Amino acid sequence: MGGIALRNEISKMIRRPAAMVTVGFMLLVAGLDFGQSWWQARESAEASFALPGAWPEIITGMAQPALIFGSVLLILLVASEFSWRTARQNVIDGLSKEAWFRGKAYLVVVLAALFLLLLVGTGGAFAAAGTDSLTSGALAPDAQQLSAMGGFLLAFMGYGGLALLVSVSVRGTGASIGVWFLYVALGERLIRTGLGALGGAAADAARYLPVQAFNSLVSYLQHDPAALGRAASQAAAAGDPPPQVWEWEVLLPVTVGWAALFFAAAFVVHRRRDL
Amino acid sequence: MAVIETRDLTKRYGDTLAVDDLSIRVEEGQVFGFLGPNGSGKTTTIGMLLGILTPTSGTFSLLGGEGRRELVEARQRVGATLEQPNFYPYLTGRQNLRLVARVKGVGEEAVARSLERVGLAARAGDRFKEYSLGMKQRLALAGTLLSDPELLILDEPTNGLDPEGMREIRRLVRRLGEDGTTIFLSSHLLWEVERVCTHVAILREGRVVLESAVDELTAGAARVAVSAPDAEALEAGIDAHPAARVVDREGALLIAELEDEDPAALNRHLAERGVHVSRLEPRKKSLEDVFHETTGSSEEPGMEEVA
Repeated sequence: MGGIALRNEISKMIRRPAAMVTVGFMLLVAGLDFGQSWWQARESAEASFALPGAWPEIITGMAQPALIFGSVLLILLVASEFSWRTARQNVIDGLSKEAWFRGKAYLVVVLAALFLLLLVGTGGAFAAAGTDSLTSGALAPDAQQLSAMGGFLLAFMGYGGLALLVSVSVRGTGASIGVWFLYVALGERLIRTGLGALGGAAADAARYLPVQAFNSLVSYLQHDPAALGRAASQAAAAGDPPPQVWEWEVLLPVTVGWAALFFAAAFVVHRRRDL
Repeated sequence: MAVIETRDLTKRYGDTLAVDDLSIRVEEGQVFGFLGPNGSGKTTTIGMLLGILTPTSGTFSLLGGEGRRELVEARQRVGATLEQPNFYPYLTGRQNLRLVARVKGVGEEAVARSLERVGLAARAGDRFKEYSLGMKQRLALAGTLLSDPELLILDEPTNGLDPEGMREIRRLVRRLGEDGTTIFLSSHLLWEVERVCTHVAILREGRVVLESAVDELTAGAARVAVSAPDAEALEAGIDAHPAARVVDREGALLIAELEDEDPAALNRHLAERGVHVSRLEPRKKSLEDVFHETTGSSEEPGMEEVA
């Protein structure tokens, strides 16, 4: 039943004008950003936007807007089911509440892959246009770049999990976007400040808040030790403190844990509440 | 076999008891009318049967299934509408039905047949948001018929339809009932239930106050409509009869209930008292009479919202 629910989710999404507008807007923003990089590289001998060197910028440069647009799209697709009362109609039609939720959870994975493809496709096209000789070596991402892609997918699962939890709890499109955005843009910062002010263990715990951890996954320095080394040297030369990255042994369980917690909480909320 | 059986089913919203220890049994092949005034718990009961509301206490079975997994499987074999039709506004009628068809495991031909059956084939390519309320009702009905369900649960199926549309739906429900489909029909239209249903349950304040075959309910004591030039003498004459009593008025007509089911005896009794009857007409007890007697309501039952 989860498979059927996912097929229905994709059918609904590709015909939804609001979904197409959101994806189109993301394409436009990414196109403008990557296009600008390509244009600068064309105009200036010092700048470069060619493969394979452009992969880090392609994968992580526009990751934040992709996480935001992707989450907003997910809220549009989930929360509207409650405003239109189609979530209850789906159950009346024979889909269990659990299968309905599985369809939405699979949708998060589909959207994560879609937005990654969108970044790779748009950025890759501009970078390819700026590459003198396109060889398979130039096109194929290396281990660090693959790690950055994995980081993006995991970060999307975290952002998406939070968006799913807010959608099934708030059950209204505008209000859900508002609550989600408030937490991502402001709420977590306030909590972090509050915990920091308490000091001790509370201040330590502030480090592990979800959005901060998810954002670390889309920092290229987290994935490429050589790039981190170069950034550290530049910072030392400028007299700045070295850039901080997470230990993978900590970052991975923290981000996977938060994402799993959001999905689990969303499932419990959806299952317990009447439609 | 009981197609629907509820045992002490209860739904409470805070201090409000929407459904109170409700126990009903719908047998295979019945066309079961579910009647009650506003807020009596009809829609809440259906909501629990369909899995969108969780009962506070009590149990129920649907098509023999009772556990969570069995109920999910049983609901696949149920076609249901609840309150107003809910579909995706930006999709066409056909696209909406395709989504339902996938869930029910049926193909494109079932979608086409269903649209044809409710007279919506010509407008199937229009978007749902462009449909009139009547067309939305038809689309909802088409959704319920997609998989030839064993049980049809219909909540106000003629709501929003024009008289011809209402007639079509009644014909369809009657035909499906004759074909052996069990139908559970919630309606605020008493005459609709009386025309279509074989059995009925009447709810009041979340409790079943009456459950019976429609024929048995309307059989009861015989009624007659009587008029005479001297209305006061007529009423006094009827009151003086040991097996008759005035139960209602329709203009100049007095409606009397007879325990002995013998209108001729009443006529004789009145003539002996000098009351000359100008009209005496046997009346069958209607479901509306039963409803008002049972619920004490003077109005027809209306629709309710799920809380």
